[in-house]
Amino acid sequence: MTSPVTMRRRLVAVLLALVCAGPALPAQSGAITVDATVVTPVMVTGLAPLDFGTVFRGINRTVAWNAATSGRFRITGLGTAQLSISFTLPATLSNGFSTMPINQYRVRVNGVNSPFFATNIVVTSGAPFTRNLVAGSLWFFVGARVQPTTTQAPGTYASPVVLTAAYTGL
Amino acid sequence: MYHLHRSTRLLAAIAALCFVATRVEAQPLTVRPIQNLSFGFLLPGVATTIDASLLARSGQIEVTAALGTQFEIRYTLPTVMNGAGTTLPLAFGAGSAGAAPSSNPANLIRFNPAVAARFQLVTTTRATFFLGGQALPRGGQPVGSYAAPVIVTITNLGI
Repeated sequence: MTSPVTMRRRLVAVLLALVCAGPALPAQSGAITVDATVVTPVMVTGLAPLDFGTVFRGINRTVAWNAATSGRFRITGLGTAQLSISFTLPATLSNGFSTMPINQYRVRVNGVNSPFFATNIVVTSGAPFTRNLVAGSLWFFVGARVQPTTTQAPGTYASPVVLTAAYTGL
Repeated sequence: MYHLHRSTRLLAAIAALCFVATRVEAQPLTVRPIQNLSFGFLLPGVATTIDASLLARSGQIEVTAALGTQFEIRYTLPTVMNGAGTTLPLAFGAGSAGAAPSSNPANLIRFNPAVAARFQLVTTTRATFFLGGQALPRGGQPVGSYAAPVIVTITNLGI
């Protein structure tokens, strides 16, 4: 049987717990958002080769960025998303073991498939730059100069020009 | 009678002590959202993980209170983001959340955001909580913007 004293001690203990628990402090909330944008993959399409046609030994040949035989690329993607773009521009064209220098690249970019009013961009091979898509597309127009030597071996010379593009997330 | 008086005096003392304790517990605690958890651009079918320590993209909130304050943090995590008329699954791992005594996410104290965690402000009056996660877009995930709320509830446990 519980004595009165023991009961009072229990009562004191219970009061201690209840009182010392104090008023419940309100919890506070903050909210953040998880967000993402699902985009269509970036696609790069080579539309036309940079074609110098027939060249002669010792005579340089230049194809302008707006010439009919200039190199052309198209990039497609999401809206006006920003892209990181880089060109790999060869320093020579190859024909077996023979090479022919190629240099003085000129690159212009436009939001429509036309070299008119295209914007000049200074391109360094392998160096990325950023550009925003225009209504989901960008067109690039590439010109350059070849320098066949006076002893250039006859034949067909070629090298790849590579355009790489990826979303920056902006 | 003696026991009764003694108990009464003891209760009065306890009440006084607890009043003081209650006043200390009532120190304000503030919760401030800093930054959303942003996955940026996602490609259909390509899972993307944002680590809590990725300062530019992790979700961040700041808790400010007096030194010594103990509190419990509880995330209410979404399982999907909504957008483009559909959902995009999300996942949070056992180490997706982290706490730091400043806004610098180096040397995070990692914890599982799916479980309530308790912290105490020992050396600073401010703590920043970082949240990472994984987005799992499906192969045919429609293009568009997706979002979901993360609710962070902080319960002040006092000093």
